[in-house]
Amino acid sequence: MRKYQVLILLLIWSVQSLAQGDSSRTQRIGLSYLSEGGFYPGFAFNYEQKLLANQSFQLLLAAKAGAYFHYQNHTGIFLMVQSGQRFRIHKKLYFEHFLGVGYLQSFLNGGDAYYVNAAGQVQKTNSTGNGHFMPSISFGLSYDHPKGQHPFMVFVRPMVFWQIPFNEASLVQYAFEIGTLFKLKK
Amino acid sequence: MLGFMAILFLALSCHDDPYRDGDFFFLVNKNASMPVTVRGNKGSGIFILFIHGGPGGSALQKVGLPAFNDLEKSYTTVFWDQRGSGSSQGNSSESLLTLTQFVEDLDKLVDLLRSKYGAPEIFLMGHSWGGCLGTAYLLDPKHASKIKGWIEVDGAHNNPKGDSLSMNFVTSFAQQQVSQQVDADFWNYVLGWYQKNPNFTSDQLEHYAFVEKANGYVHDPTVQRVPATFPGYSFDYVFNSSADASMALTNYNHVIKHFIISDIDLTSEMKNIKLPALIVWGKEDGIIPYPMAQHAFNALGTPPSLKSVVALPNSGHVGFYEEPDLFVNAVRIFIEANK
Repeated sequence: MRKYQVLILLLIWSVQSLAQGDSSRTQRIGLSYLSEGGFYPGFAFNYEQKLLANQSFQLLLAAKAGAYFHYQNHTGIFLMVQSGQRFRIHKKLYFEHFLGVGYLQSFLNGGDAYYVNAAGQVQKTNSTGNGHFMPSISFGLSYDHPKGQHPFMVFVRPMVFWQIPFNEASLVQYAFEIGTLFKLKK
Repeated sequence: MLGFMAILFLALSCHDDPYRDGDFFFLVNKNASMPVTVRGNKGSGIFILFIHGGPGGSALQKVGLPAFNDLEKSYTTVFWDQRGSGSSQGNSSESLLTLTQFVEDLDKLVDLLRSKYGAPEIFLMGHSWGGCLGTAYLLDPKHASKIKGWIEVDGAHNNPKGDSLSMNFVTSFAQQQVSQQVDADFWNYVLGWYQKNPNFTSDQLEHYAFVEKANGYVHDPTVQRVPATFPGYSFDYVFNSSADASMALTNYNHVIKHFIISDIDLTSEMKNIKLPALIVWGKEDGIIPYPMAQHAFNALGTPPSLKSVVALPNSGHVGFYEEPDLFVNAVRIFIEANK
C-alpha cells in the first residue's frame, strides 16, 4: 500500500510541473486522488476542454485515465470520456456534473490465485483480469483560481460507476475524487 | 492543496485491519474468482471449512464473529465466498448456478487446502444453503474421504419440507398476532400472501422478510445490528474488511433470482453419508424450523453413536450470532471427539 501512496504523490507533483497558468487557454490537465468504495486509494489523470463558456456556464469535454487499488478484492485500471457542465454558483465557486463512458479492466488484488485441475493438482494462475463497460455519473464542486503565476482549479466529486458485466449482472461502485486542474501552457 | 491531499491519502490508507488477519487467496474456476481467507490456529492441523448460506450469501461477512474468533483460538477457520456470491468476482454464467457446479467448486477448494496446508483434518460446516451444499458434497464417497466430520447448522438438506414448515411457522405467528390485534393489517396481508403462494420458491423474498418479521431469523431482535455481535453492522467492517457490501448485494440479488433451490431434497441419499456428524439448530428457527434437525439426524447414515443434535434454545436461524458460547461449545466437543 505504501508504494502506491508514494507513487500517487509523485504523480501529482509531476503533473503540476507540466502545467502553468494562462487564462486564454481553455484546456486543462490535472491529477486527482480517487478513492473507490470509501477507503481504497487510487488516482486519475484528468483532461478537460471547454466547448462553450460564458460568465456563468461551461460546457466541457473531459477524459480520465487512472487506477485504484481495492485491497483483497481487485485493482481497477480505467479510461473514460466524459461530457460535463459547470455552473457558477458564487464568484469562483462552481457546481459541476459529468456523464462518462469508459473501459475498466479489473485484476484480482491481495492474494494469489489458484486453479485446481480435474486431477486435483493445484497451480498458481496469472489472471489477465476481466474487462468491463464503465458508465459513470459524477457531480461536485470546483473552485477556480484563475490569477497568479500558477492558476489552478480544485474540485471534489463523488462518482458512481458501473462494472458491466459482473457475474452476468451490473455492479454499482462508488468513488470519491479530489483533485486539481491546471491550464495548459500556450 | 498537495499537502492536504497527501494527508487525506495517508489518513484513508493507514488503518488497522482487524478483519484481514490470516491468509487470503482466490480459487479460480470456470470464470469465477472466489476469495478465501484462512484464519486462526494453523498449528492445530484442524480446519473448519465454513460453507455459507443463501445461495448468494457470503462467508467473508462472517469473519470476526465472536463465535468464530473463539474457535480460531483452537482451530483454523476457512471462509469461502462461493461462485457469484459475496465478494466473488469474474463473470460466472447463470448456467453454472447449479448444485453440481457448486459441489465441484467446493471439491476444488478442499483439494487446494489439502495441497496448500499439508492435508489438514477438515471439518465441513454448512449453514442454511451451505447445509444443502455440504450434504450434496458428502454424498460422493470420494469427497467424503477427504473430510473428517460434518457440521450442519440450520441446513437446507430438504427444501420442500423445510419451506413447508417455515410457512407454518410464519402463519402460526401471524394468526397469533391477528388474534391479539398486534399489527393485524400487516399479518392479515401475510396470511393472504401464503394463501396465494402456498408453493412459494426460494426467489420469492417476501417469505424471508415475513420470517424475519416473525423473529424466525434472529429470535431475539434486540441482538440485531449491534456491532459487537453482528460485525457486519459496524462502520469499520463495512469499509475495512475483505467483504465488499456492494458486490455482496449485487451477487445476492442475482443468484437468488437465478438459482432456485426449492425443489432440492437430498433426504433419500443421505443414508450414504457415514461421517461423524453434529447437527446444530436454533430451536426458534423460522427459516428452516427445528424439526428439520431431527430429520437430518434420522436421514444420515452415520452410526447413532457418531451423530448428535444440539439445540440452541434461544436462537433463530443464526445461532452462531445469538448463542455463540453454546454454539462454540458444541462444535468444540464434536471436533475433540472426532479429530
